[in-house]
Amino acid sequence: MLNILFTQEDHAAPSSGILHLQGSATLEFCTDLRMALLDALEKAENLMVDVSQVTELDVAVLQLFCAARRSAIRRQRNMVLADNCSAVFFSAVQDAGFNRTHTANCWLEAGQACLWGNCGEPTGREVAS
Amino acid sequence: MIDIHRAAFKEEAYETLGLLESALLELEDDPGNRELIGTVFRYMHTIKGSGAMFGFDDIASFTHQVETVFDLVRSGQIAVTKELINLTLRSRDQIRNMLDNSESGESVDRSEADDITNSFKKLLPEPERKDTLPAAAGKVTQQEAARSRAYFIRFKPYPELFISGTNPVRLFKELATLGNVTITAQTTDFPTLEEINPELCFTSWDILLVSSCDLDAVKDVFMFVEDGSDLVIRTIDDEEDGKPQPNLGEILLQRGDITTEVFEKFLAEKKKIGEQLAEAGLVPVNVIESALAEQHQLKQLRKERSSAEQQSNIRVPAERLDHLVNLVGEQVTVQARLGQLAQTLKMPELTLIAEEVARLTADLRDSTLNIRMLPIGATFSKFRRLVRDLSTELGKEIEMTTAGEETELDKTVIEKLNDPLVHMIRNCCDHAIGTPDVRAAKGKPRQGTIHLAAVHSGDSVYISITDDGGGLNKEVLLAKAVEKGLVQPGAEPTEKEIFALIFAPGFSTAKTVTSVSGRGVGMDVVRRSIEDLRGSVEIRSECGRGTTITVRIPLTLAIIESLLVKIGADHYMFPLSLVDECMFLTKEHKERAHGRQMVSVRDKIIPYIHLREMFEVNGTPPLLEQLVITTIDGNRIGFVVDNILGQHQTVIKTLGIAYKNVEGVSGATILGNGSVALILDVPKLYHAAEMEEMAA
Repeated sequence: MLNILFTQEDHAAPSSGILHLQGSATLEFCTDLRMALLDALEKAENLMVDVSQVTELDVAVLQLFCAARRSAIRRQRNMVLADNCSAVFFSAVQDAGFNRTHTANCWLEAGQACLWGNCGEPTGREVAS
Repeated sequence: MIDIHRAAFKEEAYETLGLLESALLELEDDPGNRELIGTVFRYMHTIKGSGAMFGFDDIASFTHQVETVFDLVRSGQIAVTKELINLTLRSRDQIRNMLDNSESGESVDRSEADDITNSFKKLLPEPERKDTLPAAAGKVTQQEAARSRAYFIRFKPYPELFISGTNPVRLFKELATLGNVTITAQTTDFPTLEEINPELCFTSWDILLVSSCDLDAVKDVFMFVEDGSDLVIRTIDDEEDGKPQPNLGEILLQRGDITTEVFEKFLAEKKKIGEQLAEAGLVPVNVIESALAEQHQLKQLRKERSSAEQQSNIRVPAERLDHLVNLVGEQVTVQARLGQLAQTLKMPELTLIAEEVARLTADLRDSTLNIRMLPIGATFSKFRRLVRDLSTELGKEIEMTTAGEETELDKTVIEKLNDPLVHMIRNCCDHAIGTPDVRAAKGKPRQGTIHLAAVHSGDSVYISITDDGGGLNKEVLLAKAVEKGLVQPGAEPTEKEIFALIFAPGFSTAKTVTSVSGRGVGMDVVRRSIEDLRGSVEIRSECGRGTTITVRIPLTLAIIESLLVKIGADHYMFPLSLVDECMFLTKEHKERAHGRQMVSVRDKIIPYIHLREMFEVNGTPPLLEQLVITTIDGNRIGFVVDNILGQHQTVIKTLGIAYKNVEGVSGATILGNGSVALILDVPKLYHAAEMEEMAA
């Protein structure tokens, strides 16, 4: 099961919010997660996704995070992953080779940080161990 | 969804196990065949890989052990011996048992698995004998590095990869068992959150693998996802054709001169690997171009082949086919009624339609029945194993040869044919073929041969089992038959009749009873099961030279061509395959026979059975009766009926439980006018009449 909870600071400017994920972030719950991400991006200019409580993570979800990141950039918003990522998250990223994406393969422009922290400037936390 | 995949895995695994068995038996005959060793390895790998993917962990881990051994065989460290084949066949049976029990949840006897594993360990070369079997190809060791190669893999899966239940990460983990891997996800094709269908796979991967295994082993990892995916696997050294340092990147990597990142970045910048090599003056440009062209061609070829395969095969549950056959059967009946109606009404328009329907129905019937046809080869290869095991058990040397594996038969027929054939082959191994010493003493080759052949002729398939053993001894058979009271003393039966005695219940001439055969139950069961399939058995034998048992089986069970006859007000059918000819039975014929039921046809005496009398039909027969002459067990027998109506295409219906034990009738059919006609079981009628006569 994947529990999704969106919290938002009142009256903050620019508006910011945290999307908390807890449980299995897998294919089964992708559709729900996509809706939640869309909704959160709508509401928050600075969105942080907290994956510290995630117990399982698959490629479908990693893809989804990447896509959300791209949408955020399109909308000139900011989306980052919270710093406290779990070991489960790290190993999932590593196993799927997402810690090795390249600037050359990504349509991010210079200065725009990759979600996984591989290219451009790191987002403040090191994904690759 | 998972259950569907598990079921599909099981089905495929059973198939693979069948193929594995044939490959192993072939390998036994040709132990040096590297291609076969590779094939065996791949089958093991298939079972292991897909087993793990669908949660059959015990199967995967057991198969892994066997696969490991075959990996050593593949690299020439272990030789193919009879012992190895024996063990591998046992492993195959063990895997089969595990599969059988996987649903019921019963645990399989672990001791057998442990026993096999321990025996395998004894086969391993000294340094490999550790507590556990070594990993198929673990991390690259120092020695292996010398001959290890670098592979570049580009894997762009088909979009529905996730939905089909495949987790790409598992594939990568499997790759990691082959050597060192570096995985890079390609995120170029990602849509935005607004556009993305979250269940589809948009990621592709570039993977660098440094491993000592060969290209096939790498390809095997992707076996289940290859179809529909873009997959390029190439050895990097292949591109550096003829260069003194073929493993440049890898060597640099091993020495630590470059980091994995650099090496892998060098690879990831596509177009570039060749270009950069060319720029650095390592490889001439034209070499790279030709390599690229070749790669393109191969890719194209594989794509074409995979789409052709996708088009050519589809898996359908057997019961759906059965349902279809039933529907077509009904259709044939209705079409016959339509034809009859059109004839009665004499409306040209209706006749036209009726003819059209008749033509279509015939086509539909033929194609539907064709779907159910399977080649008999799979059954034959099962018998190879049987013969092999039996000859070991009995201390004989027997070789089995086959012909006509491609001959097709109805699926149901093949299934029902299995037991009788097994029984006859057991008999051949046990009785017909002697021990090597006995054979040698008779001037025969030490190795006996059993030849299994299938051939298609008319509406039947003939399956023959020929052995070069002792043959049947007529005198011994006859003496035994007299002793058992099956034949009157002093009677002089024909050769055919004597041979047919071995099908009599309780008849066995074997002096000793073995676990294999000789109890005299069996051959009568064999004959009965073949007759149930509306087939027949015939024996030819030459004492001292060998025996041939020929089984004739109709192509299909569902629809037969038959001869429609009438007795009194009722209709009956003769299977057309049994009918030789028809003639009128005149008053003169009867008078000439002086009250005996015999008729002379072209100077040959043919006994006949009066069906009207046998069925106790009331009323008087017509003045001019008709005689249907059939051949049963090589004898020509006539059946007298009132009227012959003609040829008829008959959809066989079973009579139901209430009439199951009615002798002489094998089924029924519905005629064009809706009335029921009984299908006569001609051999049974003949045997019944014979018994009655003997009793009299």
